[in-house]
Amino acid sequence: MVENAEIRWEYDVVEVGQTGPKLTIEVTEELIATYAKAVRNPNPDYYPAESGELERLVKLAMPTMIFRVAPLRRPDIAANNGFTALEKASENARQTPFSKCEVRWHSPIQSGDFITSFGHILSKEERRGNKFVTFRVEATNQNDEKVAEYDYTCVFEYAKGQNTRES
Amino acid sequence: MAISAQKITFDSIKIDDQLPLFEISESQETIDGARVAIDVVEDIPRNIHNDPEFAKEGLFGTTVNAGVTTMSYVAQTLEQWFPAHSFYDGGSILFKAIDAFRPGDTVTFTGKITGKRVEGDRKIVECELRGVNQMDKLMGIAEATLTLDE
Repeated sequence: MVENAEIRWEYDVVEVGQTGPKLTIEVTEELIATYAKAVRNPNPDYYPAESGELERLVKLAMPTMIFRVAPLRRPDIAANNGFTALEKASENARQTPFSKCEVRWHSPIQSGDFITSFGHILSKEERRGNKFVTFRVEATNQNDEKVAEYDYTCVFEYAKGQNTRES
Repeated sequence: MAISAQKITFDSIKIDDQLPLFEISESQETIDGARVAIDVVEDIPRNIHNDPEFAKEGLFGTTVNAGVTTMSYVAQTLEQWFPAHSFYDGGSILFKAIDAFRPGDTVTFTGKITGKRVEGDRKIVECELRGVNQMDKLMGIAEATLTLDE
């Protein structure tokens, strides 16, 4: 059926301004500790229950936990605009690898927060045969304060002959 | 993570001061472990982090860690001197990947202070960092801005 046909979100149909749905995630002490453990950060500040500091009411999260509580969600942005992300294509799926990212923090991420975020296409650019797409993810807390935003650039298409280690 | 015994203040920091080294290795197990923190909300069934067969056809030819995981290592390098709250009042990290961080790799992150200034009541410090793997290959560079409260 034509109306159900999968439309791949290739570089040519990516457009600046395409936006994904909002998502809200609660920041809990457990999530703060789980994230720190996942990225192997042994800083005891992120494990208050284990360090016996239960009386501390508010726990600060590791700053890069912004990627966990305000995730990029490329497939959701694609779907919200009628496309299928290349990572989820039923045939010839391919990844769009990380190239660079800039994150700017404005307010703390701490236990008890509810972080609401959404992503959108900020820019697209072709350089030396490689095609890059930059997403911006904006995150606010339950008080509608801006917590952080990040610009995440990935490679949608790369020039041929680059898929081997250069060593 | 080496916690610095030295108390860092805006006044004690000097341009060109070197941050303590931060060295970390990846295995497929550690990459899988880090993905647990992301995959809960990112439903991507086949990816270059956990699926060697899929990764073989991609840009890197092997599985690799996630760029945002490497950014957490940059943050941990900085955290040796700067507590989390230093990031949260106008701080930033810009990370550019040069080469992939693969299972079996060990990357050493280094950094130095490149600037310090006062803007109103904010004491701002700037750093540059780089990660080099066990083959002495540059795998990424970063710039960070942090705000100190004393």
